[in-house]
Amino acid sequence: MSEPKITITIDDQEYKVNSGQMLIEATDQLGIHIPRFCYHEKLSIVANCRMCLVEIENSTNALPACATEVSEGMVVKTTSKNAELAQQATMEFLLINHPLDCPICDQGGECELQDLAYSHGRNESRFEIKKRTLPDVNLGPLISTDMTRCILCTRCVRFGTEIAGLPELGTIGRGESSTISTFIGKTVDHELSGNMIDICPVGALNNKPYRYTDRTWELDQIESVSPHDCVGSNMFLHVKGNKIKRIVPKDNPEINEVWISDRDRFAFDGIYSDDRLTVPMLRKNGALEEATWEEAIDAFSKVLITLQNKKSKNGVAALISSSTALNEQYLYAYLMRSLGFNNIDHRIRQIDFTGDSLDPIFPNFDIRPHQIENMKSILIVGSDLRKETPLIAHWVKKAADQGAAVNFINQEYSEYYFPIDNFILSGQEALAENLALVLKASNDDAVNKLPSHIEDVLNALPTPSLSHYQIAKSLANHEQSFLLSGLLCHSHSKYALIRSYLNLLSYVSNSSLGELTHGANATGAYITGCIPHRKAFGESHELGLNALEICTKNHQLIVLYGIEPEDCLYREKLNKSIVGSQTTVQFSPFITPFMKENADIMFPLKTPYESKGAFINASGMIQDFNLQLDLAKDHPSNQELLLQIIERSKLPMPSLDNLKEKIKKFIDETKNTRNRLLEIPEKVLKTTKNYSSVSSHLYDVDSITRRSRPLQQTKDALSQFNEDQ
Amino acid sequence: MMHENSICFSNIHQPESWKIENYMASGGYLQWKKILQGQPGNKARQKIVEIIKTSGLRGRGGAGFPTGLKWDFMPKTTEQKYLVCNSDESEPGTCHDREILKLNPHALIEGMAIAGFAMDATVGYHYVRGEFIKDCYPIVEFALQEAYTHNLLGKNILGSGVNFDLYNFLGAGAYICGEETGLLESLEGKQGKPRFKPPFPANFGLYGMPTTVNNTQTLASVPKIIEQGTEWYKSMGTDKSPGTNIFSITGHVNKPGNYELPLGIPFADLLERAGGMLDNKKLKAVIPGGLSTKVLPGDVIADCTMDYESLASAGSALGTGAVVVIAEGTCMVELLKRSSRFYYVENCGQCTPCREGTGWLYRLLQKITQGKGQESDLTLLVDVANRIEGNTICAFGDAAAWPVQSFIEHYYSEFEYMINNHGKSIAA
Repeated sequence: MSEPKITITIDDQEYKVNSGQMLIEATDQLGIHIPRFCYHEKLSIVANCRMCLVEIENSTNALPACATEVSEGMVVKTTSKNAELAQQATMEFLLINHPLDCPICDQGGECELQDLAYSHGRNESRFEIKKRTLPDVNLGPLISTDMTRCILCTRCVRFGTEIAGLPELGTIGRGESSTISTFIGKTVDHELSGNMIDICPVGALNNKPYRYTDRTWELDQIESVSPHDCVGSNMFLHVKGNKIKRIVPKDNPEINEVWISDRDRFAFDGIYSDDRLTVPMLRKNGALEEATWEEAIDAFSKVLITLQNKKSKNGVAALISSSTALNEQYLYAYLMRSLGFNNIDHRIRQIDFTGDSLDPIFPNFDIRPHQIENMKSILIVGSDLRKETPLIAHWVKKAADQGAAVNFINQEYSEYYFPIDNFILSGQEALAENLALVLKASNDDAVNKLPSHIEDVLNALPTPSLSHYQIAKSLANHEQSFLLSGLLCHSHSKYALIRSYLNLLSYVSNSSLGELTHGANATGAYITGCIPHRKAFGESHELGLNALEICTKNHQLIVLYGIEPEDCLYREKLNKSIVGSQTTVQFSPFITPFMKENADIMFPLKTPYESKGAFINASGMIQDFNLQLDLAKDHPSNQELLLQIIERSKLPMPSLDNLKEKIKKFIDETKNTRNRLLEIPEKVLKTTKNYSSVSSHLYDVDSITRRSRPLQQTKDALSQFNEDQ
Repeated sequence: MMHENSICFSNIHQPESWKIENYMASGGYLQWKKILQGQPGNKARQKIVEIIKTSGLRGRGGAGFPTGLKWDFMPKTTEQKYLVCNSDESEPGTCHDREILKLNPHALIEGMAIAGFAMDATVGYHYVRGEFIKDCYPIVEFALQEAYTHNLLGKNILGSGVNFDLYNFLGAGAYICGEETGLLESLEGKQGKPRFKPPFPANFGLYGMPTTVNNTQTLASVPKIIEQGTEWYKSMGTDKSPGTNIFSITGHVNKPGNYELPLGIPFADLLERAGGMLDNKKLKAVIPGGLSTKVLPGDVIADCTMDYESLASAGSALGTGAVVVIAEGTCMVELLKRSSRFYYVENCGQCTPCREGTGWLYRLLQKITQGKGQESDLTLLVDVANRIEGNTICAFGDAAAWPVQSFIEHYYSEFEYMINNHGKSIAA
């Protein structure tokens, strides 16, 4: 909805601008720059820095552009003598107590204060008195502080209050002794806190791990996508030479706005872990030794070819990480399928596979992340949302802040910083049943009626409680409603049932549906055929073993691609299977003592940070990542490695041409024709060990995150460590 | 003079004037009861607003904004509205609200009830300066309980269907909370940092609801104006500054104190009331309306009458009516340094010019009094003050700048002398 246009004059030129906005928003859109510190487009307006003062006709004082609403006939002078005087006054005031330490300040070169000091500052200081200094506060392992540099714009404070929802920073003291601080002795622990580094216009809050390592102007900026969750946050890798130095967000209004999670920002440190594998390893005479690429590829191909004969086919099992790039997934699945090996899976955190026949072609959000903001009613089922996908939690918070009714059915309680209407704490066992009760409550007066055999199932359930009815009503009453299932559902022993109920609920309540998945590219894994029951592009296929079955058996050959047993929900089982299998091959960026003991062939992998590729996020958006880093001499890319293995295994070379385009077309077509599946799985898993109480910890989601030193020092990681003890 | 102590101080010389029975004995709460017993609807509300408008009552907090007009700004909607009384009297030199709270609290309560009714604000908050915790707060609390006991406040007051609940709130002792939006923030439990305006409190006030903030003296004047009528009120004072004002006279006078007198009284008369100059010294200067108004040299103020217009045209302001009388022999540099220190320690720190500039001003003055000043420091002082003035969220910046500007304008030679004589004062 566009507001009526009004005419304003800026620096003697007339412009048509939308009414109802602040002057600085209008000038930003018009490309007229007005200096600012406290104003930030995503934060509330406080008008305290006084840098954006401009002259406005009929006003005696200069007025802040950030807090002055445009009005018809307004005449603004942004560069007049009065405006400049006012801006220069502010700059002089800001600088009198600001240290002149730009040469050793990490912000130097990308500092808003430094930039504006050049245009608005004086050459010489008129302030000859001792400058104010302030003690630094310890905000934890991620953010460094130099409080003396702080200009008290309060962006970080407002970020905590408004974006994170957790006011971890505040202003204490008054007048000249005002300072930004946490509550006594506390650190800043919110999972989005790293964004404070970006919004700090000076060098007061900086990236602690990156501190004092490099100058920003020596860094190259390369677009990338986060490999740690299914959101697909856009980010920039800042690279010097062959090394990633830091990561900052890249604005994508549909996915992550201008924010990224701390996991996206700091996890990359893990790729520089000491146990990085850079040369292939081969077991010779009982010991795992370094080998040439040639030797390793040859050895692996030989095993593959030997096992290719019909009898041994079922003796091969292949697991792959759901955070693997699209082209690698495609080639890996091609390699295995072409050799007749059907036991391939990526779902190593799932235990209930009874619904495989009801599986969608690929798991997917009906909407894009930013559309969550417009939802009026949201039901979240089985999710530790803030820890699983901090940015989806951010969008849900935005919706909640705008009045959306947010409801939870969860097996455990975690804290959220937005209003929640109903929180049904179901416990592990009753998660599915509680969902069914909401479905039952919804079905009572739904427009879309359920088939009778499903109604029979619902009729056998007890009467829904008030909360169930409230949730049902809220979903039914709002056209913009959304059901979101989290990662705890994935690992639930009744996953298939839960998913069916969600499908049915979305049908009767006419709600959009979304499913969070593990890793950055689970959608890609489904589409490329890294599942036992379908080939690439959804083609059904002879059923192979699923991940749990793979891990509970011994094999002639077990191949792990991009995963380590620690990634697996049933790691003990997988460990046993590895030990018990004849040959174990691991493709991995890292080598652990366990694998050193048990692997027969190891191929070093490049992480997604170091290679080109693409991920498909939960909303089906294909996004490229573009950095190609050389790790060691002769180190092939993952794609080249897989192609060489395919070639050496005497298979026809697959075509990767237009793979992305084909997948994109496939996604669009499948999405358009998809109907809600109105079925309930016939069998319900009865006796399975309760894995789903193991929530996916924020900083333990993959091998890279686990090795990130800064993240492992956070409160989140340390508290998990204590839990595990 | 005829009209001494005719409004806020009309009954303060009676014994135990703060008690409700004594206030009632002199006609107190009659106006409030009359309103309640009439037809307390929108017509009656508008009638009160019109009376206050016609009376010409101006806000006594310092800016002198017409009170009736302010009341009329309140939206005529049915949403929750608030009335707030600003008793955070902290302007240096000012101490008359304290006397009202101590000696005539019921006039304030009645005034608030009437004002609340007129603006359809069913809840009132009385924000009391933190330092008043010992001598005023117990009295206003006592008075509030008395008013409740007599069913003059609360729900369905005296069966009229009118609701007005009043609460006293004790501040924590910050000058900046006297700024109305800083006060509202403080009242909401936040740091007392003034809000950017617009939106003004009439649209977005306490808890985001329409709110009117009035000064103690303003509200305490309301019952008498209603009782005696606008003509009577306008018979005092001048055309544009009608009524009386309580002048808090401090400094080098024989009888410092609070004097309720009609506006427009010649300064000379006022000085005489205060017993004339201490030790018969010559009048050097006067800060006529609290520390934040510009200083006027003795010969300039001598020709002034004490009202909004006369003082404005002389280059200063009536402000809070706190008249600081300065005798010959006073060192203006030291005085300004002491004033500047006040603004240095009392600013809230949220916007740049005050936070950084007030300390600079104070330290420059410190440098001069320590005998380390240079001639260029005077230019710098004025320049820094000019750079603070008008560039801040609230009027605090102006208040910090004006003394510096006016002291140096009128007493340049004293500053110059001190700089040239290594910190020796011309007055010594």
